[in-house]
Amino acid sequence: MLTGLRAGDEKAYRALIDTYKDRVYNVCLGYVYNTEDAEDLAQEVFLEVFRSIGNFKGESCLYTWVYRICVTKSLELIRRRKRKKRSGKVYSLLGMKEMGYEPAAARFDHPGVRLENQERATILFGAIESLSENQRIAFSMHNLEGKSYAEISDLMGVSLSSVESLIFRAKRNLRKKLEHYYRNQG
Amino acid sequence: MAHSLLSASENAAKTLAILNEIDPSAPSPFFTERVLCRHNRETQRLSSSTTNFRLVGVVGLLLFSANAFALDAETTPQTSTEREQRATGQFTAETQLPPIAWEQAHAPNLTGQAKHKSL
Repeated sequence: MLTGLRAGDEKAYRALIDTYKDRVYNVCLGYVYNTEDAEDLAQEVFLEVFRSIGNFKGESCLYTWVYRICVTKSLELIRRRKRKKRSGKVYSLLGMKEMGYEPAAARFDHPGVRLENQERATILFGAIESLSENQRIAFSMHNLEGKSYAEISDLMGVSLSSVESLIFRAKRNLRKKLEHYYRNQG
Repeated sequence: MAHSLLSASENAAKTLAILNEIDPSAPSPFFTERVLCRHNRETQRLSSSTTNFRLVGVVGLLLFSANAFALDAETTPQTSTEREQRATGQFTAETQLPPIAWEQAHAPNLTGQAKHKSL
């Protein structure tokens, strides 16, 4: 497949998308919490893969490389949203209508969640979304994508102990947030 | 609601446990064709912009060559004497000046009377 991709063979492109589309889409969705954005991002990821396949040295598994692009693109979108949110606040302070930004409410159906868990999943993703960016990324990588601490440390460019601490704090904060939510519901 | 019967901490624990059940490679509504169409459009756009860029480059090169040729034609010695002088290194700015008649340059400014006397 790699040779075909490098040669620009459409069959190889199709094979790559068919192999990884679900994983890529679900990873994107796990970061952006919005089905439309996740689909756009997944498309961007594959286009980037086609554009820069020449740079792939084959030192790691192809999916690891694709996954890295996926994470980078997702984080770029999250940061763009944050900037828009900030400028939106300025606009609203100035009495102008907030332009273009809609907060990504955790109202989406993750394909990997069973139907009977959808309601709880919405609450859970809402709580994860309210975590700080680094905690959220580390937590999602570990708990949704099954990445090891070492892989997360490499992907996020932080030390192993920082990853441990981020995930520990993320779990503690999540539990607090969820308990608070259910207490208020009851 | 089923979860209203549980305590807040039990509910929180149950909700967190969902994470272990999420399938990261569950079938998605993602369409392969859309990406391929976008890729083909991008490739076409890229190739047409490359063609345009090449065309601009060729036109630029032609203009530059024409300009250089015109400049060269202006400075190239046209007569055989000029060519000889250039070849022997004698071609200077002075030799390029139009010849001035010695009389014209050094002749005394004679008035009509003096002119008459000299005659």
